[in-house]
Amino acid sequence: MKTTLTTLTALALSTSAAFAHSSFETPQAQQGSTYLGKIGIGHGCAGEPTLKVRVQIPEGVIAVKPVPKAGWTLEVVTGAYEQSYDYYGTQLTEGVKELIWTGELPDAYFDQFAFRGKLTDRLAAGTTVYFPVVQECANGAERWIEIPAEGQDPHDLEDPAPGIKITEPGHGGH
Amino acid sequence: MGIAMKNLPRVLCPIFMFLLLAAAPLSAFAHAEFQGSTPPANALLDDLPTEVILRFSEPVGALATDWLLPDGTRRDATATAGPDGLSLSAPPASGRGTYVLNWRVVSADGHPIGGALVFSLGEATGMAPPDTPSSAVPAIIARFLAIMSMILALGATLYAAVVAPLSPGAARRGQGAALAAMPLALIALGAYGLDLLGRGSRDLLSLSPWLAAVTTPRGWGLLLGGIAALVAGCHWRNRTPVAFLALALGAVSLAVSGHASSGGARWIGQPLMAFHATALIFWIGGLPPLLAGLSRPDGLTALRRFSHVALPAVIVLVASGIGLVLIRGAGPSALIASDWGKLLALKLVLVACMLGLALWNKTRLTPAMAMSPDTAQIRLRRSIGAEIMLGALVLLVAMCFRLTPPPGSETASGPIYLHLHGSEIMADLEVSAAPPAAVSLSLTFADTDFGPLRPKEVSLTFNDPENGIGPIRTSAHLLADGMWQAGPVTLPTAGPWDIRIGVLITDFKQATLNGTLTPPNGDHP
Repeated sequence: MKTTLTTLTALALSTSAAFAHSSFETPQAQQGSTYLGKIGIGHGCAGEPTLKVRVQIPEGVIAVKPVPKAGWTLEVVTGAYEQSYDYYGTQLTEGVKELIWTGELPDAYFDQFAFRGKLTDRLAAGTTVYFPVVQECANGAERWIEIPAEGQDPHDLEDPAPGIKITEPGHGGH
Repeated sequence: MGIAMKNLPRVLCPIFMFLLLAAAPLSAFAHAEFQGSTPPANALLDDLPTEVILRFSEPVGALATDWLLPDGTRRDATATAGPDGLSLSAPPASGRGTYVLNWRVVSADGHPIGGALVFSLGEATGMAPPDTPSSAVPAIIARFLAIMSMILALGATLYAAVVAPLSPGAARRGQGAALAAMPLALIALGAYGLDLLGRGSRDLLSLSPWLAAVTTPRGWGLLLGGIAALVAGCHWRNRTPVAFLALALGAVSLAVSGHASSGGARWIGQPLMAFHATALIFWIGGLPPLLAGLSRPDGLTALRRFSHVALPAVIVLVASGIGLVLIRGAGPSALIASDWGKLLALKLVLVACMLGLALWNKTRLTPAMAMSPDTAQIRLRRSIGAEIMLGALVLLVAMCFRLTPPPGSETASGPIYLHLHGSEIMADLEVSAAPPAAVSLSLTFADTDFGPLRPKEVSLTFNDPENGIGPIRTSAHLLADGMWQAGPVTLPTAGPWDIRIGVLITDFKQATLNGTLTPPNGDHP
C-alpha cells in the first residue's frame, strides 16, 4: 500500500518535470517551411556536466544556420547532401551536416541549443524527421540517437532521438 | 443513501482531477536514469549489507521490489524513498550464494523502468532451482483432482455418445464431475500460482499468484479443462458432437500443460500429448460408467462395444506415450539415472497392470459373462474397479513429473556460442558458461558482408522474462585483438535469457542485436 501511494504521488506530482530526454521545443512543423529548432538538454551524464552538444542534421534539412551561444564555441561540419535541393533558384549539393557546441552545462541546469533550417518537401508530410543528438561529458556520453523502427512506439525507446513531425504545407504563407 | 449520492460529485471530482494529473505526464518525456547502487552490481561481499541503496537521476516511486535468495525463494523487499535514492530493506539472511534484488520503479513521467541488482555473499552460486517447495504438493493434488474430475465428466459424456446410454447413477456422477471441474480448476490455478511464486496460502488473496498462473500455458490449460467439463455437462440432448467438442477441448487442455509444452520438440510433443490425452480420457473416463452399467440388461453389449473402442484407444495411448519419451532424446542410461526415469518406470509398471487387467477382462471375463453372468459379473466388477484405481494412480504419478525435470533439460556447463544477425551488422558471441553462473562474454562483430566492423561502444542487456528478472545491464570493452569482452556478470537463473546488444557504429548511429541464451539441453528440435 505504501509503495502504491508513493507511486501515485510520484505520478500526480509529475506534470512539471518533463524534458529529461533531449527534445525539440516545437516538435512539429510544416513541410517546406523554415524552422527554428530549439533542442532542450535537461541533464548531464549521470550527474556530470555536459561539455559538448552535437546535433546531426538529417538528409532533407538544408540551409542550416546555428544560433551562437554566449560562453560556448560553435563548430559546423559540412558535407555533401545525398541529393541536390533547389533553394530559391540555387541548386544546393552540400551544406551543414553537424553542429557542435562546446562549453559547460551543469547537470542541475537546463539549456536550449538552437538552429534554423529549411524542411524541404522531400520530407513527406505525416513522417517524423529525427535529429540524433550526442551529449558529451567528462565521464562519457549520453546519446539520444535511437530512431523508432516502423510501427515501433517512440516511448519504448530508452534514448530516443529528438524528432519533428512534418505536417501538410500551409496555404497562408508566401 | 441520499447523503451519499449528494456527496458523490465531491468525492468523484478530486479523483477525476487526480486521474487527469496522473495521465497527463504519460505523454511527456522524462525517464529517471539508474545511476548505480550500494553495494555495486556483481559485488562479492563478506557480510550481507544492512540496507541496499539504488540511486537514480531524479526521484522515483517503487512499483515492485523483491529479493531472490540463494535457495531460490522470493521475498518482498520494503522500499523507502530517501535523499540518496531508494533505500531497501536488507535481504533475509539465507547463507552464502547469489542474491538478486529485482526492482521496478516509476519516474516522474509515469514510465516504469526496471532492473536487477545481483551480488553474492562468499561465492557466486546463482539461484538453486527451488527444490520441491512445500507449495508443490498442494499444487499437484489440486491439479490431480481438477483433471480427474474433468476426465470423469468427459468420459461419461463420451461413453453415452459412443458406447451405451448411461445408468442413472453414472449420469448423476458425470454431471457432478462436470460441475465440480471448474471450481477444482480454479483451486488448482491458485495453488499453481502459489507454487510458481513460492508463496504461502495467505497470498491467495493478492492478485500476483493468479496472474502468474493464468499467464502460463499450464494455468490456462487448467481453465480450458474446466470449460471442457462444463461443455460436456451442459447439453445432453444432441450429445455426440458436443461430446467430441468437449473431448477436443480436454485433450488440448492437457497438451498445452506439462513438459510436452516446453523444449525444442514442442511442435511434435504437443500433438502427441493431445493424442495421449484423448485416449486416456476415453479409457479412464469410460470405466466408471461401464462399471455402473454392468448389471443392466444391455451390460454385456455395452462391455463388448466399450472394448471395441478401447483397443484402438490403448494402442494410441501406448504409441503416443512411447513417442513422448523418445522426443526427449535421452538415452536409456540417462533415463535410468534420472528421477524422471524412475517415475516413468513406476508409471509404466502401473500401466502394464492396467493393460493386464484389461486383457483379462477382454479375453476371459467377457466370454465368461456371456456364459454365467452372475459369477463373472462380480469378478468383472472387481477387475474394472481395480483398473479405475490404477488409472487414478497413473494420473497421480503423471502429475508428479512436475517435481523432476526430464533428462535433457539439465544444464550443461561449458561455453555457449551464439550468432546474432541484424539488418546492418552481425555478431559472434561466446558465453563462458551456461547460466545460472557468473558469465564472461567475448564478442566479435562484422557487417553483413562479413567485412570487419569496429564499433565505438558495445552494451549488453540481459532479461529473464520467465522468472521476471532484469534487465541486467553491462558494457563491453575492446581488447587489443579486436575482440570485445564483457563481464563477469552474474545471471542468477537458468533462463532462457534474452540478450540485447547495443552496438554504437558511429557517434550518431546505433544498431541493436537480439538473441536468446537458452540452457543447452538434449531436446532435439
